Amino acid sequence: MSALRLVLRAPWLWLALAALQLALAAGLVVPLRAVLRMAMGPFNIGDERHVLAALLELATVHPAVVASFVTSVAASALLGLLLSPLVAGAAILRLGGPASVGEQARAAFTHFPAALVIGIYGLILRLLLALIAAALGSVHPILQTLALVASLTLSALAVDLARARTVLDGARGLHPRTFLRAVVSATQPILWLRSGLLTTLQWAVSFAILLAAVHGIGSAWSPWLVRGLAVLGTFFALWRVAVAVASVQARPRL
Amino acid sequence: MVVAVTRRTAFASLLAVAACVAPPSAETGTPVPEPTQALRPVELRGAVPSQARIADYEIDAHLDAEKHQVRGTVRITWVNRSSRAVDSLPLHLYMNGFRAEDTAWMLEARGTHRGVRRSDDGRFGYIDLGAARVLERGREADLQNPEGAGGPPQPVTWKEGDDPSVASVALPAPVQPGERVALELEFVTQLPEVFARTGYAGDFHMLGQWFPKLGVLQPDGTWRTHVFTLNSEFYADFGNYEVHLDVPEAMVVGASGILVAADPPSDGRKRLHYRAEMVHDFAWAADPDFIVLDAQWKDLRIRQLMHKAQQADAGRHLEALTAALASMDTRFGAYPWSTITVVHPPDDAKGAQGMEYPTFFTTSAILRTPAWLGLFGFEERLSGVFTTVHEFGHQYFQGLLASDEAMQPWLDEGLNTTSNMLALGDWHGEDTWFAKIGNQTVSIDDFVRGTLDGESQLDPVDSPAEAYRAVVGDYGDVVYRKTGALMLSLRRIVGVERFDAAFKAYALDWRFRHPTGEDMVATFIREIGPRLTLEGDGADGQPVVFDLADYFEQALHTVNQVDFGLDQVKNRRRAGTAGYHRDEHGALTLQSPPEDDERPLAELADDQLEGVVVVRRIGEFRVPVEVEFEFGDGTRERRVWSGRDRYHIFTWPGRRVRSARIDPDNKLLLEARRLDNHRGAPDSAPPNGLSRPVGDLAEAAALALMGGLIL
Repeated sequence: MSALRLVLRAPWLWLALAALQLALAAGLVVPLRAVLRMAMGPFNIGDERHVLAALLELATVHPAVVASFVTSVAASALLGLLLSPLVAGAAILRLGGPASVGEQARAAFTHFPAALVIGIYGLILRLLLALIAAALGSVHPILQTLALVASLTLSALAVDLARARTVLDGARGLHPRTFLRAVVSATQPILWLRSGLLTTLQWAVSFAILLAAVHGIGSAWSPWLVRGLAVLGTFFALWRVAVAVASVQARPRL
Repeated sequence: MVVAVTRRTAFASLLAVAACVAPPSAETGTPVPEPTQALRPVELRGAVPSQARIADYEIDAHLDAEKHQVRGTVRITWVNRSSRAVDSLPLHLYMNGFRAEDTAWMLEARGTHRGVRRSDDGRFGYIDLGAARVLERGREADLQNPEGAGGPPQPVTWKEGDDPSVASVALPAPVQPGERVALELEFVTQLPEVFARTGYAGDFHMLGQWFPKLGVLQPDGTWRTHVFTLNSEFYADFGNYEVHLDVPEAMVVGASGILVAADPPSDGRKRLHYRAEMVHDFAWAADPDFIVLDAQWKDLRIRQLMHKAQQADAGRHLEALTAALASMDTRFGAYPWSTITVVHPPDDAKGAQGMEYPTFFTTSAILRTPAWLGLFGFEERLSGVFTTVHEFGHQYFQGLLASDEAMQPWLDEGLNTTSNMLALGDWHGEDTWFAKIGNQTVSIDDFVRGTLDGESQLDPVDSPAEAYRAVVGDYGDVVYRKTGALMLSLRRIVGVERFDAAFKAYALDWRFRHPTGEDMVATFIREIGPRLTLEGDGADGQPVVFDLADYFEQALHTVNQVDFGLDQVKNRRRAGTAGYHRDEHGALTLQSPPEDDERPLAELADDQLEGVVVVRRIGEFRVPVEVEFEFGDGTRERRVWSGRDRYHIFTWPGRRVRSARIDPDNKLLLEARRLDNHRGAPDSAPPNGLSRPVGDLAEAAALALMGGLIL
């Protein structure tokens, strides 16, 4: 079954993940909004085209505003990193076939340690490949960029494959060999291209989110466009994982 | 909405790409013939005051590019225009500021100037005097040929002051009022590795303050010859300069004034003869890798010298320069000289960037931003070009109005900054943003305000340069920005036309002279009037009178800050007539309160309410301020408050106040903190305008990060 069909077969999974992401992001900025409200007191900046200038002025009087902003964003990144291995088990199980909510929850917790360790392996691989890519910068900057994209997409696919094999095939996810085999499998050009394209689309959506946010500071439409894009980004992420799931399902079982 | 984003994004992308590939918008590079006269024709520039020419210099200099050393002779012909006899001539030896770690300059700078650090193994610089002699003296001395009639030269002695940046020459006999004296000095100038305006970097040589210069005799007969310190810069009399430079043949030279003659090269060297008239300094730069780009504005020859790698910036700098020329030529009277030369120091000579000399200045590079930032709508339009506007502005504010930079640095840096902002307004329109990102703009007002907090409250504007200590770091904020803010605030208070006329009168009255701060204030008071009745209704129904002298006194001589805030914006029940009153028979009768007395304020009709706004003067600076009130029916009214008391209560019987705003037209640029200037009444308070957009921005950043991480 194609990866896209796997995702379309699990709309609630997609929507649940998107909602989780939206809720987390909204929740994490609640303290920031509160800090800003307290810092501003009963006053109003008056001109929505000078939000940044007003923010700079406020930050000189209340530096905690900057700390609060950074904390909110950093916390979301950290939480995203931690949640990734937690939701991976559930998502892979559901993408692999029908599964009850209870089974998905069980899979999430059962496979969390393995998914976490695979994530760490993936991080190490990304660092190593990124270093190699950086070294290519002395040859040509475009070559460096291409190498960086290739190495990061390869790492993402390797992580997806290793987790899928752990969840669906019962592979020993904690063992490095499972990850190394996934890396070897990830070098299959068609598979890499499919997954890589979706990873790149995910990044593009993240970039578009930032663009929409910066161009629409203070506007009514910007937050909704941003949230819509985030939902789309989750879809691409799920599709990318589904590529690995489909690949594992298509592989002859030993 | 998506379309709007797409269009904006596409437009931003186009801008970014265009910025990378567009050719210079102003034409550069066509050789322009060197003018034959150093000054523009008199009918264009106006007459030079007859008493202005005081110190002429004839310099013969030989550059040793290997040793980065200049050997030369300077002949200074000086006229005593005071009413007292003078028996010694004090000299500035500015280059000695870089002679050792314990000079006054180096002690204050501690090896750093404007963020550029002197390298630990960098060469010190110095100027050393050799033989000194008086060639001629007397009322009839021939300045062009001083040794012609006065007999043989008389050797004289000189000695350094407590700091080596000053010295004095004892004269064999006093120079009487009206008499002239011609003094000849031999000197050797060793250039430092450049980190503060002057020096060398590789083959690049920047020669500023490189020869002995006379101090300035004040009208009261005392000399002003300040010790060279970190911020003190320069002060000298006007005169004519004839400068003969002997340089390696490969050197491309740019200099103050006009090139009068260039001898054919011989033995690998060449001699160049420059002339500058009615200037108070002479600077030059030499580099074998310079390319020369000429341009013309009206009858002026503009010349840019730069390395090939910097050529892409030439058009933009030229655009800025011609914009500044057009603005200042109109605002402050005709630029009097026939040339202007712009040097772009190479990257390894950043310390030489951004310095002014008569008809000559150095500028800085335009910031290169990655193209992808363009997608975010990022634009900035001041890096590099602001340096060009600023250093050109110094041709007026210090080059032409030659104030004492050591005693009152705000007169050149601050008034120049003011003129720069006016020039930017003339160039770009009054909405002078300097950076944009997304749908946000950061204006020059925002930038100036951002520098007025903190350290800028430590020293008054009218302080001598040496009062600003490097360790405090307030020189730039106070002298440049705060002066600019106080002048532009004044402009917005008294009105653009009045201010501009006064500023022009000051510039015209004091051309080729040494104005003081008192002269400037006196000119403004004369032109605008000591007291000005401001337009608009006063807070008490009386007109508000603005006192110029008081404004300048506070702005220049105190550290008082302009700061207003809205203490209260609310509505209350209008006072009724319930209670006991005497009737026509003298008896007390009770009037009952209206039946709807207990209704909440929101439900009361406007005529049952009274709007109340309390405006508070938080800062010590007393200045009139406008307050705008918005009422429940959508109408707005303004009142001018004198700002003299600590607070003022505005009451609006029968009107519901929705919000109030202090200084709605943004006149008080001196007010750094404005977040408390706009406030709504509790029953109709608008959102603060910050927590939602900034929260949304953080949420978007979180989603962008999680979008790549959650799976």
